[in-house]
Amino acid sequence: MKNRSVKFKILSVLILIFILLSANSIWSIINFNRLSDSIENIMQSNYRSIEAAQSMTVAIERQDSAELAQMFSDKDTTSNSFRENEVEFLRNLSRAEDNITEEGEEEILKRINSLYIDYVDKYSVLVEIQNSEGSNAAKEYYYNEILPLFEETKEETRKLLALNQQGMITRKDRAHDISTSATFSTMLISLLTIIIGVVLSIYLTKKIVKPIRNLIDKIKKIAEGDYKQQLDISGNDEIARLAKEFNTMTQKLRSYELLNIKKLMEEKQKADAIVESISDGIIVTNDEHKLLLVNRAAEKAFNIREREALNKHFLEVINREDIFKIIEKTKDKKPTDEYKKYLDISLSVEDKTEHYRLNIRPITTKEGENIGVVTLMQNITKLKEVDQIKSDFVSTVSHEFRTPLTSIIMGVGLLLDEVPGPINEEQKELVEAIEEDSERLKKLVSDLLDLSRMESGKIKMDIERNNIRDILNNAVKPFKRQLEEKDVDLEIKIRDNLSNVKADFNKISWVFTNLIGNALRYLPDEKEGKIIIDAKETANKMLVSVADNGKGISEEYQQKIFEKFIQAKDNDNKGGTGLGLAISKEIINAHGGEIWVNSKIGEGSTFYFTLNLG
Amino acid sequence: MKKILVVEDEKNIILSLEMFIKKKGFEVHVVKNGVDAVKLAQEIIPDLILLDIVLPGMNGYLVCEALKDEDETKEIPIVFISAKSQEEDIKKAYDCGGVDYVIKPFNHSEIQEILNKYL
Repeated sequence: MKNRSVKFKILSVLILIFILLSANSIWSIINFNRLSDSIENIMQSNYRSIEAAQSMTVAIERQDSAELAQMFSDKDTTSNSFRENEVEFLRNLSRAEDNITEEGEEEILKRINSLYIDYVDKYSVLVEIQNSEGSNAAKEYYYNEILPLFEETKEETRKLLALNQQGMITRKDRAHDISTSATFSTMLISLLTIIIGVVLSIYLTKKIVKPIRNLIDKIKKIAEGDYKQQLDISGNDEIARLAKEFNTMTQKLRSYELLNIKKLMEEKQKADAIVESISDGIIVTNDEHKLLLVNRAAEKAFNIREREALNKHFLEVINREDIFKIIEKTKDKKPTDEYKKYLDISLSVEDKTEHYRLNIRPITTKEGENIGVVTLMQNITKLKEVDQIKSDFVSTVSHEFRTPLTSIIMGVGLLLDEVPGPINEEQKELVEAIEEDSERLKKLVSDLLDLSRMESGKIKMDIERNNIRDILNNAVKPFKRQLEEKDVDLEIKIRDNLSNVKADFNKISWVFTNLIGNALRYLPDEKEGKIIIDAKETANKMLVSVADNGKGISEEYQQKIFEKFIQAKDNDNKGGTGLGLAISKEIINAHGGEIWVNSKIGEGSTFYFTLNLG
Repeated sequence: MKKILVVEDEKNIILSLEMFIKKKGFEVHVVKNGVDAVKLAQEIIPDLILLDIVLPGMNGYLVCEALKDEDETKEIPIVFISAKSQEEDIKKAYDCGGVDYVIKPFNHSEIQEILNKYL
């Protein structure tokens, strides 16, 4: 069966079972026939002989009666009856003779035949004695000669009957035996057929199912990505052909996969080379904070090896809780969420202190799922150095400005107070202009110094739990007169029951002062000025807004105004130093908050800043 | 007439300070370095000292400490006048015995306030 098709296998088994069933049927038919023959046999062999024997008994008894009558009555009728029954007897005798089936039956019939011939002859003698010697002689003859003969003949016919009855019983028993053996043999053959059928079916099923199971297992493995699977091909049946096609398919899949892998590897190597070559450090962690990538720059910065670090927990490799805290927080953030994305750190790299700005962002798939965090390390050592030089320079210069400014301001003040002597109106006007600008210069110097100190972290924030409303009230006080003079409506919407904020009272007050001062400075002349100050609580922040209906800030300046010395153009110099917002930004950032502006030209500006809730 | 000692090394500042204080009716003595300041203070025992911090030789803090160490001069109120505006500088000035601190650049009204306050 090995090289045959599945179809052939199934057909063979079915035909075999069919042959067995046919054999079973034929055997049954044979048995039925045997049984039927046996019954027929009983009929033929014994029944007719029994009938003949009984008829012979009847006939001879009637003849006997006729003989008795002969002796007492009319001769003719009795003689006729005797002859009629003689014919009847002989007819049945010959029937019995035609149907000899039993052992000893022939001898019995021969005896009956000879006895009966004798009996019939003696009847003729009886008739003659009757006619010649009278009834008494006839009677004597009858009792002496005929009656024993009659009895003997009758006895023989009875024997014939008994013999045949015995034969009938024998044959009946034989038929019973046949039927019993037929039942058993048929049952046996049926059982055999069933067993062979079941065995063959199991064998066939196994034969067909086994390679299919094998196929299923291999397909499962392929589905899991193992394209090395090959089926053992044996034979030439449909399953073997399927296996062959399957093997071809897996080979093709495998070569396709290898090709893909090769392409992917090339792409990956390219990407790896790019990532490795980026001068900024890159660290990628997955959603369990295990390291997925550490490029060369990051390796150098943290003095670690990517090979040893991969798949280890961030903290296991880089013992920096401060960085990890942000990574952990960033993991579940959406790109639109507001949170701390930067962290400036200093690391000792090859005995030098290097400064890095870490930019920590979630890695978000197209479906919006966060799969990890990427930490970019921008080396800001040079920037810091330059910034330090600049700060030092600004600090020195502004400091050096103070001494000459003192004599200018003092001198101008004395002149205006006419301490050295009276001055005329024109002189006074000039000196007043000098005074105004020296005051501006004084403010500028002071702001610059504040800013450079703030930037270098020299100014410490005295952060305590404060009520935002209290801070604002403190900041608004100095503006009372100015607001009345300019007829500006200042509306404070802040509710009384807001949570406290973590803030340095004086510094945040300064921020309010600066924002309100800016708003006042740029209010429109043509319409009534309005300033609205509000504060709202979000999850863990206080969002404060200062809105005005001034001339607004064009988009290009909305980012820049928080930088040093930037004042929105197209306005006349209103007396600001250009440092107020830069200082505000430093103050808010030092509080862990953010500051930004929304503005539309002609409609006004709204400045927002956030503070942590206390 | 009350005596005021001005310790300052910038001649332009000296000019306006001296002029203003004189006009206000006080006696003004000016020295340009720390050593002279201590010497003169012990000599004339002024009623108020306006003391710069950055001075040639001995700085303002040392001058202050030296004066506070002597019984004759320790009661004299000393007001610092300086361009130094950092918290630690100001704290140092108060720690060594200064009563006030005026940050440069100042104007004459600020000086007027000081005069009113300590004389």
